[in-house]
Amino acid sequence: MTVDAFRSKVASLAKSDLDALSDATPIVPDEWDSVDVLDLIAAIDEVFGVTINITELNRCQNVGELQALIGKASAP
Amino acid sequence: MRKAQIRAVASYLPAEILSNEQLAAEYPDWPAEKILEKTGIASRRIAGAEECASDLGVFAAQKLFASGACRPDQIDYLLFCTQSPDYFLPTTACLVQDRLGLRTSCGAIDFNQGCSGFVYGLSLGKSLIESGVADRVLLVTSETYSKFINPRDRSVRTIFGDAAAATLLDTSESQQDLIGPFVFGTDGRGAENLIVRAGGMRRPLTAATAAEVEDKGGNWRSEQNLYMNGPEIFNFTLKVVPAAVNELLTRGGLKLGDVDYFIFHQANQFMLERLRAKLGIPEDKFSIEMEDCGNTVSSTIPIALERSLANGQLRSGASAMLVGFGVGYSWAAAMMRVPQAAART
Repeated sequence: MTVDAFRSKVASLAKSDLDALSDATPIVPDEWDSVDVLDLIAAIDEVFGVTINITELNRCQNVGELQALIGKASAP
Repeated sequence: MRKAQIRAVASYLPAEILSNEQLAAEYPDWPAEKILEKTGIASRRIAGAEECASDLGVFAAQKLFASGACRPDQIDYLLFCTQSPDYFLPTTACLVQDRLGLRTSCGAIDFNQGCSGFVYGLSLGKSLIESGVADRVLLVTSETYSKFINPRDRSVRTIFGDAAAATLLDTSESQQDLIGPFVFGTDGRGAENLIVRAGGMRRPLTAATAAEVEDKGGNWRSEQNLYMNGPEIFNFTLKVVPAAVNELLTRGGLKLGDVDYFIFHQANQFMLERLRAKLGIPEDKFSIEMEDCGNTVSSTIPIALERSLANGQLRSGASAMLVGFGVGYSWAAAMMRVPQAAART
C-alpha cells in the first residue's frame, strides 16, 4: 500500500473528499465499524511498520491527532 | 535417538452448519459476501445442544483409530486441551478415557489453553515420549466456543466454529528432532481482550451476569458470553507473531526459505494475509484452511495439518512451522517434520 492509498483510506473513514483532507478534518474512531478499525491497523502496519494504541486511537478527534499517534508509535 | 513424532491426525466437525447467508439474514448491514471477504469464512460448524467437548473429541479420536494409526489400548497418555469442558470437574480427559476404551493404566489430563493449545500439547507430548514416560500420546483439542457466544454478537459469531482434532504422537529413531524446537510466549496483560468473564469462581453466574448489554458497535452480550476486542487482538498478533517466527528460525538455525510449509493458527484470513505479507512468506507455502469451519481455536492447526497431509501439500520428510497465538495472551511456535509414514485419515 502506498502513502496515497493510505490517505484515501483515512479520507474514506473521515467521510471526507481526499482533496479536502487536512489535519483539522474530524474523525470519530469510536464509532467506526470494527472491520474498518482492523483495516486501518493493517494499513498503518503496512505503510509505517508500527502498531498504534487502540485506546488512544479512540480518543483521536481529527486527522492531525491520528498522524501524531502514528508518529509517536514510530518514534524510537 | 528416541524422538517423538506426529504419526497421524484426524478431525471432527459437528453436523450443524451456520452459513454466511444465515448470518446475513440476521445482520442486514453485513451481507454474506462482506463476511466472506473480511474473514475468509463461508460457514462454520456448531455443536448440538447436547454435544460437548468430550463428544467432539471422542469422534475425532475414533476417526483416528479407525484409520489404523493405532489401537485405543496402545495409548499411554491422553492430553485433552479445552476451554469449554463438559464439567468443572471431573477432568474431561477421564470421561474421554472411558468413552474411547483407553487402558485404566493410561495417564489422562486436561489442560486449558486456546489458540496456542495445539503447539503446547506437542511440547507436552514430546516431553512425555522423549523422557520415556510414554510411548504413545493422544493429543485431543476440542472446543465448543459457540456455547459462549451471544447470537446477537456478530463480532465473534462470524469468526468462531466448533471442532475437535485428535493427534497421535509416537516414537521414532532419529538423529534430528521431528518435533521442535519450540518458542513460547505469555502476556497476561491481554487477558481482558478475549474473555468469558462470568461462570468461574471469581464471578459466579447470577441474574446480573446474564444481563445483556449492547456495545457501541451494536453487538449484544452478557458477562457470561465470549468477548473479543478484535483491534487489540490484531495489534498483539502483529507484534508477537513475526518476532516468534524469527526467534524460532534462529533457534532452529534456519532461514525462512528453509521451511517447506507454514501453518499458523487460522484466526481469520484478513489477519493471516497481513502476517504472511509482513513476514514475506510465499502464498503457496502458507496454509489458509478456514472457509468451511471458521476459527476453531486449538483445532485450527491440526485441521490444517490433516488437510495439508491429505492433499499432498505436506509430504514425507517435509518441514513445517506451526504457530498458535491468541487468548491469554498466549503464543507458541514449533517446527515439525512429517514422518515417512504419516497416516492419512
